[in-house]
Amino acid sequence: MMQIDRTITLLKQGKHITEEAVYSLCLKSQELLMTEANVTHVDTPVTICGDIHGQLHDLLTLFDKSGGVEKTRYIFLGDFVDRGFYSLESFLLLICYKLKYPDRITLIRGNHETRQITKVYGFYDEIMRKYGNSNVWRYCCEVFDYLSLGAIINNNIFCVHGGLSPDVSTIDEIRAIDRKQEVPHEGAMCDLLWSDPDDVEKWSLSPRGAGFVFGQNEVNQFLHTNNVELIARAHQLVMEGYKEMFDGGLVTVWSAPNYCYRCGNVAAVLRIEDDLQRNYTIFDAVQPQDGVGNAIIPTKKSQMDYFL
Amino acid sequence: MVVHKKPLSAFPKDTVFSSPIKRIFDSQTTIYFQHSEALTRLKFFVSKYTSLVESKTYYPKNEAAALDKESSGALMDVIEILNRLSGYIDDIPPFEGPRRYGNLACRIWHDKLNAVITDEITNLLRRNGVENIDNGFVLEMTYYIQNCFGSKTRLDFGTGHELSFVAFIAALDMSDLLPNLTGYTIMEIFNHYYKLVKKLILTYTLEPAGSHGVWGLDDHFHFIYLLGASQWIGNEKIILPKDMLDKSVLNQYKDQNFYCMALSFIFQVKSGPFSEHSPILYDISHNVKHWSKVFKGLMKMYDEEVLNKYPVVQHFWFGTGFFPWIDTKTEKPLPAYEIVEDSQEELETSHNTNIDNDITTGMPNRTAYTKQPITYHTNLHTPTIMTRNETIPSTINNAFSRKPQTAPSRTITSMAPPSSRTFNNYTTSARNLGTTSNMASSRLAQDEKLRNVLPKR
Repeated sequence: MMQIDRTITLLKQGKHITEEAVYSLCLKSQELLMTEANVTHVDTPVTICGDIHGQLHDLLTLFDKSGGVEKTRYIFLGDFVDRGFYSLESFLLLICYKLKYPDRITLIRGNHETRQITKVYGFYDEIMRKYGNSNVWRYCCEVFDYLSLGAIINNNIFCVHGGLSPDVSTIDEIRAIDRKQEVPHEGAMCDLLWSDPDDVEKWSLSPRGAGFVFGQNEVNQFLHTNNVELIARAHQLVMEGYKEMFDGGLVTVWSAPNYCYRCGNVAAVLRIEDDLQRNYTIFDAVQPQDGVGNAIIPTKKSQMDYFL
Repeated sequence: MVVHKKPLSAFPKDTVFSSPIKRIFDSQTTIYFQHSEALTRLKFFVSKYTSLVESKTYYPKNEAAALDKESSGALMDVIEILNRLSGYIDDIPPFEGPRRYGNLACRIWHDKLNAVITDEITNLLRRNGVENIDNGFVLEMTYYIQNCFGSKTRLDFGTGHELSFVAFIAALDMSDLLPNLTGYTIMEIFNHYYKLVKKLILTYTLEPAGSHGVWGLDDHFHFIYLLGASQWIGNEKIILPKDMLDKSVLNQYKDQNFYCMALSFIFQVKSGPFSEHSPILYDISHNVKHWSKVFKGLMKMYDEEVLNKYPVVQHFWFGTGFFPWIDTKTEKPLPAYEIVEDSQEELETSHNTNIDNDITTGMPNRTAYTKQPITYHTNLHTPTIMTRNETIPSTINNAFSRKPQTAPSRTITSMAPPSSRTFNNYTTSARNLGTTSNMASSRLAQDEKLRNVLPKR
């Protein structure tokens, strides 16, 4: 526990974590996550958070504005890594909290928590730059395989990263998936992490090349079959931070403000009260502070092979 | 075969032109591309244009008057087309109100582009003395300018679109329609192009195509840095790579040097520390001492990260005249797959747009085009301390091998015999037979289910 506290302090300052420390954290969190169900039960009150994408300073703001992990229960809907500069630090902070407060934080897998996607979208490059080798990336990817696929709040609200799947009509079917693997390119597990809602009449092809697009009919049927009132998901940037659709039967929550340093969006988290009332908290990006971050994280090996 | 009076003297007499076709579907076909005559030509022109601008400063205002129709060929026509396309943006303001990200008004602009571009190119050819214009020639050339302004479906813009403009200029060049090209004229054309693209990006908030976030060189561009770095070569007494970290230097040179132009656009759209949101550009300025080194490194990077990346080049299509899908050494056709059915139809996709354009990851696309018989291989999975992989090999295998599928109600493809020299008449025998026997029964049932739920075409 001492080590976890020390690591949390370092992470909050954006400081370097040794390879050995990452290894030990990843191993411990694997053991912990292994015991969790594919769909975790969570009680109210709880705060639902969307994509983070390595925006560590904004993640710290998120905890700040929403009560903090000492006082609040959280569900993170995935996409902790890729694109941002601090994917590793963001992910490690979350698993440190998970180890320290196992019942207070639920981590759901996003479509970016895979080997194949992180190799293309930045997390792998980030690790190579910060450590000079890919070990830390491999340790983290092993943890990704153990993250939950969803959560259910008070038997009333279903949480997932992407959306629905034509292969899944009941939540019990999700419980039957063998989740401990790299995300497949198709099938239920893939769709849960990749699908998007839209104004469509029925299941449609997704422009992403994975998952499906689903509409009000699919949502209504899922809500009715499973006797739940809301699907909470992330996966898509929303300029206003959140967006309710289908008569409030589905909500998209997005928690990376000014995404990729340029999108100009605000971020949101959604707090579900005991009476299931929904309260949104909106927050902005951290003001840029020159000299913070990159300068204090040592560059072991820049992606400069082309320039040697 | 139509005889072209002027430009086509540049091509062998039996050259056939045709509307470009998709040839790159996966990692294997990306490897074929590396051996293609098309890539050899693309690299030749990338090298030609960047050499032309070496050590040259761009003064847009001073020399603009020096351009004259007689000596510059189609140059002024291209610039006029770009100006007209830019004018359409003014006529099509972005929609107001809440939106996810990319502005849907951009699709109206693309409709306008698609409506006028064939005529624009036909007229350009006419004005430049091309008689008896061959339809295939127009279609093949038009394809590259039509696809250099971003994706209408995904509302994004990336280095693949930038490459398409280089290909368009190269096609004009190959046709002898851009005589007397100089560093100045290249910079003039590209300045107009980049001005238009930046206007599109800003007006319609186009996404970075397949963005790697902070871990890519730039959200949208790469060729622009090749031009700019080449421009600075030999100017080390005035400007060093490290000076690119100085905003006052960028302000001073942003209209004269493409590297500075690109960096100041980054500062326009991004906030936060430069070292954080653009670490690769930061490292270049910080670590590389000479512009010739910067240029060479960016070239190597371009060959790998743009020209050899499936997510980028999958959108580069091939005709038979300008960028042919033939082996550059043997001059034989490369193995080719072709969409047999529904080739002209637009994929039915949702009107939604995705900031995560992960479609371009190389995630095998099960919906757009399926092909066989190549198995999709990847080495990304690195079994390490876990032992479970051995216990459920079928599942792991399923994740990493691309099984032939019966795509929902469309697109059956086939492999062409490599011996054929005729480009558009591939035989399509025995297509898709026997694929189902490879599929697990559960998969079969699932596909059956999908066929029922997916929209019928």
